[in-house]
Amino acid sequence: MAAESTSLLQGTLDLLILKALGPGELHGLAISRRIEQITRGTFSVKPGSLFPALHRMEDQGWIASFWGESENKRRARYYRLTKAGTRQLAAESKRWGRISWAITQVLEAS
Amino acid sequence: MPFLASTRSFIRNLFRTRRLNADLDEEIEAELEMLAEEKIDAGMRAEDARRAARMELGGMEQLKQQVRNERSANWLQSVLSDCRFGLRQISKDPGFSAAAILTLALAIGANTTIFSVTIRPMRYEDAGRLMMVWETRPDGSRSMASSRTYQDWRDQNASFESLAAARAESVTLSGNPPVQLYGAQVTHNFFDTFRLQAELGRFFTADESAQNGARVVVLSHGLWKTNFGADPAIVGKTIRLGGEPFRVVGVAPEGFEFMGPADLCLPLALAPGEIDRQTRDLLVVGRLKHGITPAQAGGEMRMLAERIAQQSPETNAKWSSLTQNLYQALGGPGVQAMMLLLVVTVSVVLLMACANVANLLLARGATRRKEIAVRIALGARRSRIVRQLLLETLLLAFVSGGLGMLLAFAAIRYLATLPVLQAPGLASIEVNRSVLGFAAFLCVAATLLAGLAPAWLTSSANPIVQLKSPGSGTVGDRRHGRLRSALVTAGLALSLVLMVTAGLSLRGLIHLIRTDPGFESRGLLTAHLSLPESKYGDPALIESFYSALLEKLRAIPGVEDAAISTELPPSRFAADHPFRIEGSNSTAAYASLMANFQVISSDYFNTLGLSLLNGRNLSDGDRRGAARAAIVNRQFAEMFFPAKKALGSRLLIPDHPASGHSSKEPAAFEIVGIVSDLKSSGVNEPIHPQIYVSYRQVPVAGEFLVIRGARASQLLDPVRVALLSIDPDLPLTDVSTMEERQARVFVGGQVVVSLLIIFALMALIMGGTGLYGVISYSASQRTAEFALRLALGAQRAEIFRLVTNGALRLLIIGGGVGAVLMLGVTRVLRSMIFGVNPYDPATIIAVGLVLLAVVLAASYFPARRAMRADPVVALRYE
Repeated sequence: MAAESTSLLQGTLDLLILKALGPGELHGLAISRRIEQITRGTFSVKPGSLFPALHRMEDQGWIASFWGESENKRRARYYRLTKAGTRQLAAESKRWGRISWAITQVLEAS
Repeated sequence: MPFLASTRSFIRNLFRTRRLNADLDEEIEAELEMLAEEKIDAGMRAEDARRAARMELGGMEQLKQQVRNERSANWLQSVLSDCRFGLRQISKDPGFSAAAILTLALAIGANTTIFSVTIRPMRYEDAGRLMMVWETRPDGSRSMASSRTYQDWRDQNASFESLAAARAESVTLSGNPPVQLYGAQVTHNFFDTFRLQAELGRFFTADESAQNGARVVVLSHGLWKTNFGADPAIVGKTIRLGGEPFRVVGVAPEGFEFMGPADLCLPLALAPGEIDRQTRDLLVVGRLKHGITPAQAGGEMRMLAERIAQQSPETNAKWSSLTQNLYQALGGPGVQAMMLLLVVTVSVVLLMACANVANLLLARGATRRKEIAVRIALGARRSRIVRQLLLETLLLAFVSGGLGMLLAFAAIRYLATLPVLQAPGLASIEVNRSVLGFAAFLCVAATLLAGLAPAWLTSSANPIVQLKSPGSGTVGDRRHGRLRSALVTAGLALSLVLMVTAGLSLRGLIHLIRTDPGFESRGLLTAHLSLPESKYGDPALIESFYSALLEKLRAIPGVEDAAISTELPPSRFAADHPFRIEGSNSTAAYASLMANFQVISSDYFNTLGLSLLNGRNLSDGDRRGAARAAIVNRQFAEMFFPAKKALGSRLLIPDHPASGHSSKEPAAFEIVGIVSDLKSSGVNEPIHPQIYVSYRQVPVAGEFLVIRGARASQLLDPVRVALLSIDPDLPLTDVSTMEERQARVFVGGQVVVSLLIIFALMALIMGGTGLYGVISYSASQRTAEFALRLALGAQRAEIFRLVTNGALRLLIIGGGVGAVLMLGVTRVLRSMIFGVNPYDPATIIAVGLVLLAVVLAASYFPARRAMRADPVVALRYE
């Protein structure tokens, strides 16, 4: 369980959450597990960052929440991407692509 | 839409907080359970799993608070809760709150009132582009324009969309009783220039003003309502003016006035035979073309005037023109200076109120340092505390603003009834949206002015120092003390300045009222008469009418003297009648020699109490056909005949325009007498040169009656009876005693001086209470010190002096600063206050004594408290 944690770049958390919700709706804990899984444990999202981010993104209209049932038949709060969220994911991905390309260039140049 | 979504969530967050919080509780609870289950699945014991899950979530309440902070309406909710907290704070300390609210309410009320009087928009559309164009005399003073000059301007200028002219006119509305109406003859483009729409009917056509004497009339809204019962079918009807039928073609919109109240407008005909350059009786107003600045227009008009001066030097040599914004032209420089003085004064009152409230806030901040230290210790950021404190001040300011508006409502209502503050063309004095907006602006400004520094200083509390110290927040701060003393000193300095200003203005006004007008104003009844041209077209009829009337008036028991005159003191008109001295060879003489020209009966000097200095009075022998005689005043003789041979000289005077027939040839009048001066233009104006001629030689239709009797006001009824017996159709207008007439000149000054005194008193009270606050606070801080001194054998009187000396020190510094400020202020005041030395020692000493008394009163009670301190009690407490 002891994942090597890398501090999150400002703004990347939103991108990770949007990406994690891409395939379908998830509840909070599942989102952080999904992020760990897709980053192969590089990022571990703490609840203290995750939940504020989820509520903020809901306020912004990128994701929507509803009450659903977990794998263990428990009532849980689920989140899914909205249309605006899908657009935001595309935009953020493109932006991230540019940044990572640029930073790679910088590192290789020196 | 993201914007829509965020607005939706903002509103949801704001109004469904409870529901959202319940959801959040449940969500976090569920996550905890799921996390624990995950750990149990991984092989942990149930109890350990729960604890580990809790650890991982990192504190349930903290997590929930983090989420709540992210919500978009969070800041508003915290502001609302700050407001609730602020209101509790205000009600917790009623003494402080009442003092602060009252101070600010007075200042905001006063400022709002003055704003409503001074910042009034013009009634006309796009009024910034309306300009008045004047001719200017060789000495630079402005004059109305002559008809030919107006026509040249109108036809040759490239600066104005339209250039219109108006001439004052009064006519009699026939009826029982007949009514004297005031109005104007206007060119057909006049209403267009103002962008006015007729309320009913239409305005004049070009045709109507081209043909001489078209009998059409436009009524004012007021006349239409009062005299015609707001008859909706008035247009097309005929009314009788001066005995002649006039067809009503339209009604002007409500509130339309130009240079004074106007009951009606008649077309101004500029027929070729009637225009000249020497009868200067037209007001010219134009609307600037888009893209032309007032300066450009002024330059062009000056150029046109110079061209006219070259072409017609006999009437226009050295004359030029002046183009003024309509607003400035209507107000006049004196009025604007007074208004500016009021605005500056009342702003100073506001500043002082803010300083006082800042002082109160600092004092209260000192008692709240413990509370604030606790909040800082618990992790509140400084900005958060400053926000909280400012919000409290803002609440105070808005409560004060509400109260101040109540004061302003009452004051504005009162001021709106004063005729002296009604200016033609300006919107009426009322509480409107911009006045309310200004009051709101003042609340915010006062909050920042009064609240920012105290909030910043108070929020700098060091939790360690504050929480360690005993007592209830008595840890003094040198910075507070210095700031508070500085504020009080500034307040004393400013109240000194305001009081000296008010004192000097009062002295100036008293001086004006007491100035000898040059005649005996008590016991005089005055009224105006105007003979309609239709009935009195022949000058002989005018002469015989006035001769008969004067005879009847003198026969009334109680009447000592009776006379007529075309003007009465105090009149606003300057010397504006051109003349020439026979024998002087200057061709440009008409253009530069000007005097006041008055048509009187020979008893005028007796009736007013002027004395004949030289030569003879006018007499019945100076009749039509006889050699023309004139009397001049001493000023005239000294101005134009320095070598003292005025008597016997002859003046060439173009016919008085009011006599109704303008001959091209000027008439020669021999100077037969010289009389003493009277201040015809109000007592603070220079004395104008005067020419008096007899009504028998220059009969004019409009004359004032002046009647002297022991009980002047009771003579009105017999005078009316006498008039009725000669002509029952003539209305008597403008009836008043001479004293009332004189008093009208001072009404404006009285209003301004009263306001200045009220503001100075406000400033004095604020200065005094501010000082009291600081002295009593510092005395209470030094209780232990005083007690120790007493215990060591100091006399109580010495303690008393210690406290009062502190106050006097502030007074001396404040007085010094005030005196320096005063040096600058008097430079400005000198131009506004007449006949009073701006360093008037009596005023300065009186103000100094009042200030000293206030300072002593403000320090007396704290000093007495300090003196009576019981050393045992005070030292044990410490």
